[in-house]
Amino acid sequence: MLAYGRGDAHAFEALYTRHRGTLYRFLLRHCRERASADELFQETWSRVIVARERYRPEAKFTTWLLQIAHNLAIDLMRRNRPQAGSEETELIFRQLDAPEAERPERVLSEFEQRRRLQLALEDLPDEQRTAFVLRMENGLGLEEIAEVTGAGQETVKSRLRYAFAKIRARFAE
Amino acid sequence: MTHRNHHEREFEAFLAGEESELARLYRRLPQSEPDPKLDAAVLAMARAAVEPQRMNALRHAKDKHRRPLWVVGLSSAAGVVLAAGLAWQMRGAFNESLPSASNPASPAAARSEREVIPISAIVPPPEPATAETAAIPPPALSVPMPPPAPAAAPAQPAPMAEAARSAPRAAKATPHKREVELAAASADKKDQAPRFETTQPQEPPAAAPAREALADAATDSASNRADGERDLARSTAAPGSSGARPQAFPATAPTDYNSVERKAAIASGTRRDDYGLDAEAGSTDPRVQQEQRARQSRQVTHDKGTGGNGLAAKPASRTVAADAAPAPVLQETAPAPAAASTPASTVATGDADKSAETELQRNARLAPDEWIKKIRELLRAGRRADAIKNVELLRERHPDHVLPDDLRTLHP
Repeated sequence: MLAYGRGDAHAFEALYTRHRGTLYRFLLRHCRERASADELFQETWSRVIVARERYRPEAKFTTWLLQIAHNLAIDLMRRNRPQAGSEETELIFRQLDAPEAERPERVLSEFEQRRRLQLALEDLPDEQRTAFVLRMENGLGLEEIAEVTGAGQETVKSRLRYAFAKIRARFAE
Repeated sequence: MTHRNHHEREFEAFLAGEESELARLYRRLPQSEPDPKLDAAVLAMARAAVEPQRMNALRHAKDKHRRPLWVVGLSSAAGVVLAAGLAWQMRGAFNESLPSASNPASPAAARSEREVIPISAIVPPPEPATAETAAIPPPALSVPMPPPAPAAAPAQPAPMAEAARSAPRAAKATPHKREVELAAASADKKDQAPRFETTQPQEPPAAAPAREALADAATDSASNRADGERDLARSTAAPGSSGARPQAFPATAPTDYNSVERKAAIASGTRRDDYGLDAEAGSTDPRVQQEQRARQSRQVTHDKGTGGNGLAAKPASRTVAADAAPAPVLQETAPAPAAASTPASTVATGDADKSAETELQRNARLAPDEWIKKIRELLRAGRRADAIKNVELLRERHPDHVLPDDLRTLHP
């Protein structure tokens, strides 16, 4: 990011290639629809480009990038309340690509498990879902999640605890 | 309680990032990625954002290899100044060539004038030349040297120029108090007088005596420095000395030295072209007295030859009258053959000088061939100094006589 801040476009390409998937999935998990995810995705990178000269390597770039995406997602969710219903969630799951070369019963079981997981994520409150996605998708720890979300570590840990309990309860059904 | 503990352990494993069924299942979720069009849009946006910055960076990198702007500006200014200077010089040369172009006879003169200017500036000025320039109104140094005017043409330019050239050499050969004084005196006049010694129409006569004194002092040894001091004292005391150069040349002086009588006396040998050395007649310098005695002897000889009348009689008589105080007149009228034939008998120095002087006066009366024989006898006797004096006097008295080769080396 420092190289791109000095005008090196190739540095940005490398940076984009490394973080594009995780960012997009984070936004897709957060927004539940591709259009909003695409919008947020492009808006996130636009903010990164504009802020390139103000970037200071005080934290991991991933944390800084997700922090920007998270803020944009929060703003979008606040504009788009109420949240999407179950029908939209089913539509998203249908759009997701299912793993291939799996036995039909296995595929059905796996598909059912992913479906349950996805539904469980959709049912989580935004703060709990964000914390859970940041932990599972981006592998952030408590401190980093707290930094991205702007909450305390204990709050993040509590959110994660509640999110984890709800998802386990959904699988236990 | 057990279920709760199990749930807590799974949560701790989840926080610790340990592999779990939930994590494995989450990885099975679709790995959605942005559309390639979205990728292209983001990358284009990123490139467009840094393009001006990249261009500035490239321009800055090129500027590093480029010469500084002030160097270019300074070079341009120097070129303009050089061009202006050349144009000014060319304009000046063009203006000078304009009148010469109108006059077909003048180009050579104008070219010679332009050629003379650097010569006059390079040649070091003769130190005693200040007196000769004092009589001429100082022209502007930037003006080209005018051609010698016929009205101001010197009567004897060649001897003057030769004397002017010899004087600095003599002064240079004797690093002496007199030289320092003359240099100081000339330095006072240097700023006022131009240094066109080659075209000076007339040299003040008083400068020549001073230069002759300098030349004589150059050949003398250190013991003669006192003589030089006295000469300088006389030259400064007498009118026309270097110490009072502006007042040294009365208006009638050039006409006196260019008078017909004087020239006739010089041509006849009865008078030396000493340009005022007669003022030394009263000198107490033994060398000067000796020369004066020689002059007296010549005068006596000439008087005898011419019968004491004619044009040369007047200056000769004047010289004798000036030298009347010492006794050489009596000596020359009463020759001492014994002293001439036996020079070794003169033991005392004063007696030796007297005898040599008497012998010189006696030889001067002889015919040139006989005189030459006498000179050879002096050489054989080891009296080289006396032989030289005889040769000098012989040259002066008989300038048309061919000097033998063996004696030619004695003549300076």
